[in-house]
Amino acid sequence: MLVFPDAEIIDWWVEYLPESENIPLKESLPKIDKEWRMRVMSVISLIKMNYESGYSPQDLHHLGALIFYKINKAHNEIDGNKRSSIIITYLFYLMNDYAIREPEEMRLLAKRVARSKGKKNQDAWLHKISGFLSTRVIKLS
Amino acid sequence: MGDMNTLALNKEEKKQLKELFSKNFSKLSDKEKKEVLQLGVKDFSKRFGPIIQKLASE
Repeated sequence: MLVFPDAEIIDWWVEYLPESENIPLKESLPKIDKEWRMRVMSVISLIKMNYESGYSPQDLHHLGALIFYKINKAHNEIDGNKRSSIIITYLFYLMNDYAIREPEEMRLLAKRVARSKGKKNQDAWLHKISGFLSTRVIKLS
Repeated sequence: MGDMNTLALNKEEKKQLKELFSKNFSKLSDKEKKEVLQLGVKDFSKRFGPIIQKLASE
């Protein structure tokens, strides 16, 4: 059974991110406020509901792709969607015992998805993203 | 699929993470969940920090 971030987990995650000892991210994170939390949680809640009711594929990488794509495309006019999609997709994989590799490729993918027009070709993008993710993760346990 | 050596964690931290994931994340205590997230942040910031900074400046 896969697990999804809830509001509390996301709060902890974004609380720890700026305090990182390796590379300071405080100035580089998207604006994390009430609206950001609502936007992220609305995407995750819907994906989780469809997963639990069996309406969506049950595969980790398909769900990771959905999270990445839907957060990236949540609101085109809002700054930070690309960063948010990476931050939350990494968290989703982490909670499910995986770590994502290849950050530069992920940055380029996030940019290409953001540039794609509306939600045209969504299925093709999801296929491409899940294929990408499936070959760029490591199992943690 | 890569291997654990690509994680930006030391030997002890990798061992700790492996042990934590002997249980499903949902079965962990809040303290253990926080430990997983803190280790995850350490890896994430090292690996993804530069691209997050890059995206922020674009």
